[in-house]
Amino acid sequence: MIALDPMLEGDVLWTPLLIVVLKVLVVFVVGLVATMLMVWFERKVIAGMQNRIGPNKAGPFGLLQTLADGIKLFFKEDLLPRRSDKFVFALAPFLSLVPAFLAFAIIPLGGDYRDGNDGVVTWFGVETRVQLADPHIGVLFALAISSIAVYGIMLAGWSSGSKYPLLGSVRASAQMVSYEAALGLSLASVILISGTLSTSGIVAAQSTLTDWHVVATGIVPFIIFLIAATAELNRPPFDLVEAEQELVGGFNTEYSSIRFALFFLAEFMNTVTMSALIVTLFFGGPQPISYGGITLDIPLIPNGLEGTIWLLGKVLVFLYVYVWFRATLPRLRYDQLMDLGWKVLIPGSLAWFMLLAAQRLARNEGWNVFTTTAAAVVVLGACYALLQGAFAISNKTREREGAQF
Amino acid sequence: MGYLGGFLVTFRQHGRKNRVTTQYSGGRLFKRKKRSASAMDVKVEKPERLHGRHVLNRYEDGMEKCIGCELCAAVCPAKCIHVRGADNDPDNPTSPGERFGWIYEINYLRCIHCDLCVEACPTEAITETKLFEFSFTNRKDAIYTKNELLVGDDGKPRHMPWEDWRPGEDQHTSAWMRATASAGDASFVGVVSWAGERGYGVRAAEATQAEADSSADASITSDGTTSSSAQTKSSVTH
Amino acid sequence: MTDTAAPKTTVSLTVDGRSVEATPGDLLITACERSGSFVPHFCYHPRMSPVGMCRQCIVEVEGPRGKSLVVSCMTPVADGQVVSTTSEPAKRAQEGVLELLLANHPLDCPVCDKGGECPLQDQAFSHGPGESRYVEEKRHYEKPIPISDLVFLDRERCILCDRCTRFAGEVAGDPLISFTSRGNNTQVMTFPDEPFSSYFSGNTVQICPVGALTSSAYRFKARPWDLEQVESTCTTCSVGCRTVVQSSRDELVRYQGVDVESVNWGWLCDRGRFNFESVNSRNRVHSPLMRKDGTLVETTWSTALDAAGRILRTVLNDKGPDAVSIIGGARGTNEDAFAWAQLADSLGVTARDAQLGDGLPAEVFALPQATIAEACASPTVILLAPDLKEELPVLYLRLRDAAEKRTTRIIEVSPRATGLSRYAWKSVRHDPGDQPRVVSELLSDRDVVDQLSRGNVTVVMGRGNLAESPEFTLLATGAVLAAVPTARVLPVVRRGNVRGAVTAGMTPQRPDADTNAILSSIAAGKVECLVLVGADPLSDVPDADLVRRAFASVKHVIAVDTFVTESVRHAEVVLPASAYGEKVGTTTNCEGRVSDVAQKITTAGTARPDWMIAAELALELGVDLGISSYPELRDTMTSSIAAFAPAADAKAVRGEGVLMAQSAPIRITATPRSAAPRLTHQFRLHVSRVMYDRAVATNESPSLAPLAREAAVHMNSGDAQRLGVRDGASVRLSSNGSAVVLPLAIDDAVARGVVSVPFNQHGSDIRQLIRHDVAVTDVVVEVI
Repeated sequence: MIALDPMLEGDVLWTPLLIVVLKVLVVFVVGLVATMLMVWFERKVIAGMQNRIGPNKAGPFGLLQTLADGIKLFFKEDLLPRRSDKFVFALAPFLSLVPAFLAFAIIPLGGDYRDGNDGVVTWFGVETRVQLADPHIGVLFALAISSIAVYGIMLAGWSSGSKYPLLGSVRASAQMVSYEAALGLSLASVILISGTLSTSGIVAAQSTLTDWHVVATGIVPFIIFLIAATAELNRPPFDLVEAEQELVGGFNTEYSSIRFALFFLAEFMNTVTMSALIVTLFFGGPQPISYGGITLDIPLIPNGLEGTIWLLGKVLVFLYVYVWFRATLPRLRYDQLMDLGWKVLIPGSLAWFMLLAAQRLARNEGWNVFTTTAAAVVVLGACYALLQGAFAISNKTREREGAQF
Repeated sequence: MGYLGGFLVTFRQHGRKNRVTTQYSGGRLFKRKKRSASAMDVKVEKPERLHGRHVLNRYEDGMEKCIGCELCAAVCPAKCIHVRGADNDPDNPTSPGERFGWIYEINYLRCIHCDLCVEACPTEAITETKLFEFSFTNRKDAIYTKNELLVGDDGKPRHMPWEDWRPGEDQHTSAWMRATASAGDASFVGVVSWAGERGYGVRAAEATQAEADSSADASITSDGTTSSSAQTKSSVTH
Repeated sequence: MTDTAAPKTTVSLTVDGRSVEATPGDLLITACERSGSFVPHFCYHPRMSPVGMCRQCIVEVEGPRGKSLVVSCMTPVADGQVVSTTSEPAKRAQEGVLELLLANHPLDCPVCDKGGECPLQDQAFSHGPGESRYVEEKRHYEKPIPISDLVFLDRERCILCDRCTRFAGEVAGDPLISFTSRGNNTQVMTFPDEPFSSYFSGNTVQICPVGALTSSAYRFKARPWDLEQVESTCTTCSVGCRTVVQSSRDELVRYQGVDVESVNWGWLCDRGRFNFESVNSRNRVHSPLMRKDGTLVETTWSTALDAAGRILRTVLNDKGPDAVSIIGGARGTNEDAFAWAQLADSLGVTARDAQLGDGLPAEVFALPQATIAEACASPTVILLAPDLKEELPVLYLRLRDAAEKRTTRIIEVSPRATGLSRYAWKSVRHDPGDQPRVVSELLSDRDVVDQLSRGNVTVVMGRGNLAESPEFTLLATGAVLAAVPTARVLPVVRRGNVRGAVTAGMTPQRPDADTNAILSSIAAGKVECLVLVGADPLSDVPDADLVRRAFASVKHVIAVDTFVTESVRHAEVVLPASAYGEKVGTTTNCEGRVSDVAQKITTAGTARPDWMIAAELALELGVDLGISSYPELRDTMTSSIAAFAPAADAKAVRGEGVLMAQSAPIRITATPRSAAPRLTHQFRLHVSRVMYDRAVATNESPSLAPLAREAAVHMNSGDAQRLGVRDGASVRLSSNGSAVVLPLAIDDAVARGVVSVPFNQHGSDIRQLIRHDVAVTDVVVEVI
């Protein structure tokens, strides 16, 4: 089986093929439009938080501002620095943009989850899921794709042939790689609970409010994932890579015109994708809110579309959260960033995963869950103490060697 | 709330009441309501001592206050003032005294509007209006010559075609000067020895100074120079 | 207290806790300043006698009788003094003096030229009370009043320090300003009907500690903080005073004098001080000119150089190197002259001369030489020179000072009284041409022999009379050198860098190739191409008739100059040269001191330094002089000419400069003989320069040009009475077939039987009567 999408079982000819093509188009368009609107959304919300109006001239309420900016960027001079590696310089923006779109492919964008349906809808007589692809390894696919995005930034900075971009990109890649570990480990907790890697399966496992993984895994993996995702996206407060005050423009210093526009779009596309992924992993995706048998229903909307509305609402919440972060939090210094990633998030997510695994094992083996949890906590506490000891020793060593912090 | 308290702060800023930005002129709103630009353009009230474009003042009898001493050029941190003095023609003096500003140019591409020149001027010759919206389109327009800086016969600054003057901006150009008068006293109200506004009204003198003025044989000769026979120092009558 | 032993050579005193050694006779203020304590002062000037007028330099001295406040500029040092410049009483005294000085001082700082470089401002700030309690009316005078053509006086600002009056009286010898009135009304004033027309009035502007004296040339042009400056040497005359050249916005605005012990002591003459205006003149040649249809038209460098090259090449190929001559080089720097000499050498041109027939033969530089300092220290100075006050004014100041200090006795031998006659021990009048005989007579006089035996003898020799052959002065000098073998010579040839140009090679390389010979050859048609390097023969060569004939018959003239002068107007190609202040180089003064000339402004238009023009012309002619940069040129010059070797080090030529290396001196071997005596109805003509004439730098400076007077014939009153002429009447002078009409001026400075006419003035040109091949010029004076 290629995927868990029922449409793709058996012959994939004509109607299923057309539907696939339609889905591709929709995902592409939705991705672009979502990015455009995300930029507008961010500027308006940040303006509101900063006592300003934000864009309000281009289009009603400034909706077409992003389009105007895009057009402007399109007409700017496209510079190619003399010392740059031309091929890689041209390739890098695409290495950043394409993974963002690709990751969007596995997000369930809707579906009918009422009345026991597990999200399958019927279009043109074909049963299918409302997502472009649904491989068995969906979440792994997403992780892999986000790793490729690191390439985009790394190569962008290196190929610019100038020192600020190089510094920016080196920092960026280090940051992204470090936080990917935390991302993956918190993801592991989710997978432990849900039992499957495919996104449709993860969504299907979150039918009630208490089944939502944010509750089921304890809230800690969600928090760690949120923070790690923010760092993956190079969003504030982890946006050191593009910090103008320190690195001029970071990895995109030498980029202008369309290439810069592509990076810009890639960042926002990634934001949208990552929000959708968080919603999918922890908040049930297109699942409606249902608790104790009562399921909230949106009137006048047919069941098939309801899932999309729910997803949209939840994603909006997270987009707002990201913009909120940007407006509120000061930037983390690089060493603080790395400390957070390696010394807090990775041990934390690992520890939590171990705890959950211990609990699962206890349940499976029939041991007392509480005792197991307590024993696990004790063991983890000892590990924590060891870790702190290691940190203390390393700090002392650094002080002795004259490090400044 | 500690770290998370900040989120509440930013969250609370939403809402129309909190907005500092006012509507811009132009754009669709403007076209729809068909109002004039200045009606839409609500400008913030300018503080009394705003630093704007400079003017060269004159006395009430028309003589220029600038004596070409180059102190403004010396103190200017941006080196944007070029002054050259010259001897006053005895038959047709431009300023009271020996010397007047023959060349006086300010390069507004370099001026940072710090107004140290206003502080340095011993005769209150150079003061500033509240005009800051003067955008020129070429370098020559940016270098204001003495003719352009000098106040006109009505005592008001000359309006160049590219300047956007609003009512009230050319009033009381030396309001700020009083605060930083050479006496160094912000509350000093009285006769600064070279003062005498042209057309803006003059502040009342202190009691003792007025007595001194009326008791001394105070007069200005028609060409503004000190007559050699006068044994007392001339002072400006109000 | 009496000490029968030898007087101590040093005394030691304590200033502000520090121990200082001083020579007895030193002033306390110099000792204090040497120890590092600044004592505020106004009237004290190291080059003038102390007067204690301002009382600002009050310090507290503890002597045998206890502590007392004294004026340190009037108090000599004594052993064991304990001086405090900052004690409470001294401070209060200093503050008090400043407060009193500022009481009547007007609030003129914004309009005063001195603001920014004013000792009163600075010392009021550093030593003053901070606030004035004076609320009364200050005294008023009309301000400013011109006390001469060049100087304005503002009596309100004057702090009565006596510097200007002391200078005028003590240093310049022109006591034309002094204090009048008394008490609160004391003021500096000139005498009625006598403006302050001293040749040194500009110095009073420089030394005035406030802005009471301002010069009309600099007034209001710039403020001190606008100015950029560089030290340089004046090249107007050959004294080579050390100056500071100041410019604002790339335009020369002022010269100030720099105190250099060996040359000018900080003084400048007015001509050298104010002729910076000529450098900025609109009439400067900005681009090369070429003659087209009879007028000079602007052209490009390539065209002009090409034309000049073609002319030279044609003449050299057709007629040989003897058909080309070069006149000039004395108005530029040593390097300029050297480059041109090199060019001339490579072309084989031997007929070249830096002097325009108005100086002395170049051999005088090979006589035993004296420096200015040595001359002023010699007990005897024999003057066989023109009026130094007119031609080399600062040298006059030095000699006058030596005479006034009674260290030197001047014996003056000249046809008319000069500025130094008053200070001369013996001043002898004679007919032009009779100098050798008169000198020989003097040398046998008993008093003179006595005097000569007292120590060193210096002969200051120059071209005293342009209407007489220079051989007479040479012979007279020879007589002195024969009588006093240890005597030394200071040759005072006037043009700025004559000595340097001659040493660099711009001097005739074969006999009979000096300027007069060159002009004769041109007139005879043997020389076809004349190159003028900063020379104006039509104005400066004494034999006007010869020059006119030469210029009428010369085929090609190539001129390198800063202005279009009379001679340049005849040129076919004019190459613009950089003026003073626009080029770097070194210059040599009359005593052989090489000092540097600095560049302060960019050169006018596309003008180039003379040496660059020589190098370009050389390339045009296919010769590589090996000069591609100024340092290279300097190195070549100092290594190939032994005399310039001490100037190889760039640091050596700054400041005091360095003396040229001297070669073995020669002797004058000819026997002295005088010219034939004149016929009784004739007068002997004496022509010499005055300070302000129609020289280019003076003429193109608006402040100085009006000071040149109309030419006049100066005659003794006795002779005038004999002839029956009145002062101001027109007379005709005729000689050698020409005649000139001039007004008469009765002047008892002139000897009987001599008529003296100043050179190069407005009005009729006396040079028409002069012939270079005639030893003396006898004229007939007719009343018209």
